[in-house]
Amino acid sequence: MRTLAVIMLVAALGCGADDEPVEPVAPAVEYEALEPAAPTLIRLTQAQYANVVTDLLGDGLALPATLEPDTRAEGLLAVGASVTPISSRGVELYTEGALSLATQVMATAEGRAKVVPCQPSGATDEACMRQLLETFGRRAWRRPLTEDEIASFLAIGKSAADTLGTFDGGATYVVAALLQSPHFLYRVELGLQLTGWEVASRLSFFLWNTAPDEALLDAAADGTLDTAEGIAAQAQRLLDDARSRQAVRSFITDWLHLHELDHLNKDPNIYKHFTPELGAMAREETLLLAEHLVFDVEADFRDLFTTQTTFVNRRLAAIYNIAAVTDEGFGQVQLPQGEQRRGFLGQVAFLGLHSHAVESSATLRGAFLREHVLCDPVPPPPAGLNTAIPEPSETARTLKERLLEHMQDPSCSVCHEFIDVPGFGFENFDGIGRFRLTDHGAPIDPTGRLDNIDFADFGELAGLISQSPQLTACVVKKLYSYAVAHPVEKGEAGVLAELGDRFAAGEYRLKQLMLDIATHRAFVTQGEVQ
Amino acid sequence: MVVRLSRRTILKGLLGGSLVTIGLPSLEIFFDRRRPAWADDGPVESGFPKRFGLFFWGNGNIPARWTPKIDGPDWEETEQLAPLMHLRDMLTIVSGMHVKVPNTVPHFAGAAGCLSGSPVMDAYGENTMATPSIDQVIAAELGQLTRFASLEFGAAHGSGLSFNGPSSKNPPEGSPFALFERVFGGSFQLPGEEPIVDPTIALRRSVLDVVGEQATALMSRVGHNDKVRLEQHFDGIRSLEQRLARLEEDPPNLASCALPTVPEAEYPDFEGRPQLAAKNKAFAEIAAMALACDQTRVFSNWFTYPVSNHLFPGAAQGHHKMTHDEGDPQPEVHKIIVQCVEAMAAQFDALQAIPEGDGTLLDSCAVLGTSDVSFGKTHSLEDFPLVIAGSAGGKLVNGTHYHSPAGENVSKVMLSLARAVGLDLAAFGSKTGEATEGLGAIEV
Repeated sequence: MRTLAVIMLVAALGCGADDEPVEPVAPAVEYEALEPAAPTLIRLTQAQYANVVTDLLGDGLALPATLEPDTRAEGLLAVGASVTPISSRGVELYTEGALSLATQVMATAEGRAKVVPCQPSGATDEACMRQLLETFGRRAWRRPLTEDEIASFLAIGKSAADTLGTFDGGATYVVAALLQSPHFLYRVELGLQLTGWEVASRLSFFLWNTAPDEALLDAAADGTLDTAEGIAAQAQRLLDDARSRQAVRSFITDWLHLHELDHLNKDPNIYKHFTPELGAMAREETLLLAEHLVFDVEADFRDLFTTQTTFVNRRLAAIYNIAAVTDEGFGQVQLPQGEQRRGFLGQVAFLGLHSHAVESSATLRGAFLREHVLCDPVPPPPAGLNTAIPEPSETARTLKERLLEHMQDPSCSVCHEFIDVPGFGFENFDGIGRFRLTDHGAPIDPTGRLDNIDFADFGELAGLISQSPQLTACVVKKLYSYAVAHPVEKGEAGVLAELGDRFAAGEYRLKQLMLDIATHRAFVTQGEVQ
Repeated sequence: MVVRLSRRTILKGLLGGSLVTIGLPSLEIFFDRRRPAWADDGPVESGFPKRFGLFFWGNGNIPARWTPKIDGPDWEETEQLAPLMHLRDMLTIVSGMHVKVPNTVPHFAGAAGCLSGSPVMDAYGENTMATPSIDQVIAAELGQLTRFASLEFGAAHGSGLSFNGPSSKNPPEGSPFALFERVFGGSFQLPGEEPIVDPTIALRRSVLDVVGEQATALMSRVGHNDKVRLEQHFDGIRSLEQRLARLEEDPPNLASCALPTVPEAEYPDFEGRPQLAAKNKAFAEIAAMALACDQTRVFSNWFTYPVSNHLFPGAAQGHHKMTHDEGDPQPEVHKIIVQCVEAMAAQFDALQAIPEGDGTLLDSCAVLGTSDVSFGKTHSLEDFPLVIAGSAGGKLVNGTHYHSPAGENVSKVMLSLARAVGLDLAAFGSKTGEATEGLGAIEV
């Protein structure tokens, strides 16, 4: 057995392969040795499946309306993809989807050209089918097929061509088979040191949220990805490509649970601004802001929590009580100075999602902040506890006053102190995210405390969160987990610490963190099969 | 309502357009070489297959307004059981039983404890059942005999609670139309129709063969967890192969089999409230006909979920929130629970509406209605809500109320149900939730 644990002795800066001028060197830091996690099969997420199929077959095809749902592990769908088994129903959906997609793509000349690289001489032209498997097959499986695999697909192609009488009939079943194989549906990474093909997949799924392009596959084929320099160059190429935007969108969606906005629901009798489309609009706002910060202005990532720049359409502008900047679609706006609203936590995507259908919730908002933004787990409430929040009364009209009454019960106060007291800072925003000064007719007191620091209002709370070391550590942990798509093990703690130091030293640029992860040894190293 | 066989030609015209395509080959002639009725299909003493169903709603009941005071066959109507009274001869009300697993995670512990008989397990920060839920325990056996091992569906958006094992769920269908298409669209054959002659079936099977071999080959190269995952993947492939094979056989010959009404394509929210009742009714009828046509023998209907916070019609607050905030005797929560029980009644009615032999389809069923807690406000697992409809072909007592005097384990009910539909099961559940004896009082 090879021993993989090595002591890494690196400077906090300048551990990459680049030739940047050497910065003033920080003292060398010794990080805990890497003990890589065991390999896992990573099922393509729904978004990845859609991206991969579109890249392979072109757009305009009807993708399967439903697929096996993604499930979370450690808060991320990307990690759930390496943990949860697939249901029988899921297999059925992939199988039907594969045949439907294969049939559709072979039905048009344009689609067919993406699959069939040669002019078949007849229905059972084996050489042409072999070419298909060597080209399209390599793209679909993100590696060349073995000779045995080619033989079994040739057999499928031949019997389908015999039955249906055409080469294209044979190709349809070959494509359908490729697209329902475990080698397509899972990212299969078996080696201790990843092969070039496996590295190519890791890079592209992390940095593009889709399968490798031909250039990346060629880099795997010619050994480029066997070297750190080769990996760094390809990682940089991927990050410079516009497709890296879809990776950042995917990460932000996963980390901040923006999928759930598909099911945002508010009582329209109370929230006149609610429509069933609002959730998707709110998600787009957050994603446009994240793209803007990461790519357009390459900002300090913590600005996501403090910036007063955002992107609104007419409906969101109405909720924020500002002038719309476009008639259609989204436009960039600067919120007026002096407004409390700022950053992701001041957006409908956070405020509306973590509220009830008819009212706000300091508890839900505080719990999400703790658990997912700061990576600070919240224990479940004890069962059997009376969790009722007192009804509004003369003495306790606002939600905050009612929660404070609830917290007089010592068995409740421990958790609620942890969750609600930060959550009070959001109370100037109602259950859909509109700014307000009163709740049930009484003035709102937006003061609270995050850990041991008091804040006067939401603006100060957002500032505290953005400066919290927990926030940046959480971003590093989430992005790393998202990138490697497995539950982070104890043996990876040193990697997180190192990445965190570099994130700080580079002034919190997310793109640089992505590059640091992609070029880290941990990204291409696995433990033994267990 | 149900469209009968005699109306098939009308239906053919109705569906022949672009909306749906249903495999209706020329079938004016009924062939005699049909598969004999249930010759080799397991335990069918009554002449009809035994079926199991589950109806689940979230956030429990209000025991004081639910549980009858009178035990035995003379049990009285209660406020929350009122929607079921027209079926009382077909029902068994079980009260006073406890879910015996530790109540560590409010709501989910109760759902897991009741449905799987096991304590909740944590898998990477997510709650999961540690052992299969009752529907899958039963489907593992009865599911071998039909085109679909089991069907999962539900009116509320959610990921279901049908577990094959840890972290392994069977996602429910959320659209009645999609469920209709899955079961009755495409290659579905009514009784008496000729088996499908389609050369691509053999091709599809050969593709599944190759893909299944690839899954198997991969199993030897991966770690333990992935091996389990691939085995499940392979099971999915194998069940599809079996399904294709069944298409080439004569369809099951059950006289009551007909096409159900085609549901609406969509059920948009109305004033911010999902149309749970209308969706549920459509699902209930499709599921009932799927049983009548012996396309499956196991279904689970996930009406709503633990912690579901849906706005019900007429409600001023989400369901879950209201269970905790409303003062006793919780008049608004009560109204919501009644709507859940009405939905349960709709599922039972759909089964009762289909004649089979001298009785109805419900006679051969054991359908369990239950939730994740009893009193929602306190997350109580005591005096758990349990309603059983149907006698599984005479194996279960109907028309009675059994009140457990000593807070017996709910898993005993699960064991009785599994045995009633023909399973030879020694125990159900694990740890403190395990039961090795059924509930004698409800067994015949």
